[in-house]
Amino acid sequence: MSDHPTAIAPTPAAPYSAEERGHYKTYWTVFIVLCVCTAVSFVFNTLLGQTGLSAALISVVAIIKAALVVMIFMHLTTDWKKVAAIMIPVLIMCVMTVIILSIDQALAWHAYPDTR
Amino acid sequence: MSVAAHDESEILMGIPLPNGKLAMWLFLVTEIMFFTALLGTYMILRNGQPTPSNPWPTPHDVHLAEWIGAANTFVLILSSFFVVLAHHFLHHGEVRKAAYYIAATLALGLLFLGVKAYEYKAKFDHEILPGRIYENLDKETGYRYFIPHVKRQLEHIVGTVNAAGRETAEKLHKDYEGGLLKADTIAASLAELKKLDPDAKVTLDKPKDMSDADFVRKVGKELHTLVGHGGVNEKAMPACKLLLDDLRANTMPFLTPRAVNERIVGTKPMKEKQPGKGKETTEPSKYVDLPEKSRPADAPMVVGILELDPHAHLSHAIPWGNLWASCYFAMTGFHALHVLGGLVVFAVMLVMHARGKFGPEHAGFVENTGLYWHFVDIVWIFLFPLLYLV
Repeated sequence: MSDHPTAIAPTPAAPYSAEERGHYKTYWTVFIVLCVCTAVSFVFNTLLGQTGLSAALISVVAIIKAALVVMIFMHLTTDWKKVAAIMIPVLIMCVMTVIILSIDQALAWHAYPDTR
Repeated sequence: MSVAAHDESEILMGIPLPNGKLAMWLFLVTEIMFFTALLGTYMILRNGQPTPSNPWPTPHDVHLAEWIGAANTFVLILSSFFVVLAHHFLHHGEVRKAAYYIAATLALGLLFLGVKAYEYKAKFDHEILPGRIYENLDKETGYRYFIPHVKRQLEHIVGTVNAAGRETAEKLHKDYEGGLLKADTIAASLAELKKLDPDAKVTLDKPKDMSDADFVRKVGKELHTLVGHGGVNEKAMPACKLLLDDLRANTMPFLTPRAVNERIVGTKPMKEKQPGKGKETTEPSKYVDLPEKSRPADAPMVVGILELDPHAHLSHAIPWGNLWASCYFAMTGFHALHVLGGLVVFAVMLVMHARGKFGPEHAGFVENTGLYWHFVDIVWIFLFPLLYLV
């Protein structure tokens, strides 16, 4: 089963459909937003330095960027229902891995209070 | 007997995706776990270890430039965008345009790896490698390893001749470079040098079986070691000479590893939160072994050699440096290998196009490769803030 028909006649004059033109515009918009987000994280770091606030803001920006790439560039807005069955367990495992590793951090803080 | 017509509806098994796309998503899901392990561990180590007196290395400590990381981020985002466009044009049938965008993606990927290689070279030059960074200067490690190591590095820069013989050695070296040294007249100058510095490793007499030209060349090489290979700018060279002379003399007050580290790094980076205190000097500070808070407010701040010349090849103590280096090279190294893998596939596409065997029927191939490339981009989107900014 293939989503792509074979041998579309490659004529340069073939017009793009409205849907295709819409996609093209969306790709450009997302690209510009990604560039702006990168600049914003860099500015946060320059202005706020390495603080908890800058870390939180930069993390939020990173998640927004990743979400845009995944949803638009990787077509997950259209494919989500098909891929959800394999993505959801993995996302649960990702979160659980970090939670489980953080137990080690809590134990370190408990044993060496100076590191808190 | 009539055979009943079977009216079986088509049974769709599994996930309704093309095989290639499903396979790529399954692979990406395993890659998500792989990078979660690396990045998650880094986050825990970063938060769990440092103390206020031994903070996690700042990007400046480990010679990391945030703007280079930001530029690399932009390069990968642009390459992701180009892959999407390549698929868009290929799906519509514009094969040539698609090939141009794939070529551009390949070029951007190579640019990313080039910038990464430049960053790695900066780390190698400063010996910022796992297991090679001095962290604990207070114990035996500092005296036994750190001080001799710094001494060797200084001798490489400044030369092995002592302060008394330096001027003579430099003059002789200049004469050698100018081709003015002659085998028959060299003996007197070398004897004078040997008197000023008895430890100078220099051949005084020409061996019987050596030609004049070879002898001059041999002496030239020895002079080169005596005067040093340089590698620091004019501002830092006097400070390097001063530190080496002090290390050689090492009279009271004895130079502790911490004192040597401060002469290399400077007091200013440590005092960044207290600007304006004390005037600056390159002379050694007599307060250097006192903790920061015990020093008088007007204690002169030592300007470190690395502040005068950031490119000087001198080791210095970086708390948690080895852990940082392990994490950095593991994460960025694996990411770079993934980038390389993606570039190989793009190169294959371009070869197919060159042979005329690339067409709209390969839109699925390009899309699946694009999925991989976007994933690589997402990993960098998280890596960049974790390593460079936070």
